[in-house]
Amino acid sequence: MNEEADGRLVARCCEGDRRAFADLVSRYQKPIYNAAMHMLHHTEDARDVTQTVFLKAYEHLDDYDPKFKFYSWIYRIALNESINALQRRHHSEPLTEQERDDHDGPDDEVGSAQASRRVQAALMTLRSDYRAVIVLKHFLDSSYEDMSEILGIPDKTVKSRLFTARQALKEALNGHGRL
Amino acid sequence: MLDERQIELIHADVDGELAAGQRGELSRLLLADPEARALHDDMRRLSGMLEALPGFDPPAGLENTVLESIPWRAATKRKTPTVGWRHTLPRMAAAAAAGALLTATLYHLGSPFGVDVDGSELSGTMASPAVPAAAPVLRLDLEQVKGTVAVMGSAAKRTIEFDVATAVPVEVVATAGGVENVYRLEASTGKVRRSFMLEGLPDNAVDLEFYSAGTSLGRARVGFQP
Repeated sequence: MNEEADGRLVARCCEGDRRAFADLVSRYQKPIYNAAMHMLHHTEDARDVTQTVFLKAYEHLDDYDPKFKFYSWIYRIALNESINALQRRHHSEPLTEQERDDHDGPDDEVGSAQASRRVQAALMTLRSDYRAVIVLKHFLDSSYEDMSEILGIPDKTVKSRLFTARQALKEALNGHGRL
Repeated sequence: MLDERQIELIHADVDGELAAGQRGELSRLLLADPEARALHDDMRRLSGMLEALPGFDPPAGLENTVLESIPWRAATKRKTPTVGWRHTLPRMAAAAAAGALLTATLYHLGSPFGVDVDGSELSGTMASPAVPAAAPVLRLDLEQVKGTVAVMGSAAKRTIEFDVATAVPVEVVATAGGVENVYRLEASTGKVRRSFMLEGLPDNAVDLEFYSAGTSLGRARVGFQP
């Protein structure tokens, strides 16, 4: 993400420029929706979370401290909202029929679609804090430093949580054997 | 049994975070220790599986839904500085240039509304860098619909903003560049500000038609400099 451009857009938002906020929504709706989908595995919840994230971001834009990266700030809101949604709903639902249709393409793609479902299902068995580090690293391309800023934990804790999360994911995929 | 540092080296390699001086250390470890090789292979494979997962496209209309839910407000004061002077100066210049280019083009098509330009709002938006790109403001003064309409944004993406009080639910058909956009304004006792994405590539005006319960209330046109 372009930090300098984000900073300018945030400044314009605070000056009352709605167009600037629309640009931020346009820029971040896809990564935030994707993060919410990987956290929740539920299209309606992910949609609601995405909407709430932008609403909260707008309402608290005055509190945003520009010494931090904007994407770190908004991803933090996204993960917190996703975890809140998980706690509220206490569910992790299987893929809907629509999502299956989306993923099952021609015969030669069925294998990879099944593999994807297997990985996503394993991801959903992880604790939410473990799932969050996997989402940050693998779906939002966050560095250890970014993850530390987003989660508000030391770099060393980020690494140990990520290693534990991967081990748990590996075990969920294939028991205790090799992948 | 691998120690903490060795595990950290393996994950750092998988994550592309290996420091320059650590490459040789990792290579020696992988050559010497089958357990390290097995973990390295597993983590690389796992990483590949995760990155092969398909992304999810946001549902159609999500951006509009988000923008419609925002309780827009006027400019606010930041607690801390946001951008340095090197960012502010070009922005001021751009705002001044945009202001100089803007032309208030407004047409009255004989609607039952009292339609005119709010000159004070126009003049207030021409030069100040603290105000977003200006748009001509169409004032609506009907028994059941009162307020203003403005077109905002750039040619790449435009929004249309209604700041109106409506005594009855109103549907607005906004035709821009041959594309019809339909918006619904709920009844409200006071003015409510609502912003919608404007699809189509309008040349210099957007035609508006207002309906209530399927009956046309009239037409108007809001113009802007492309």
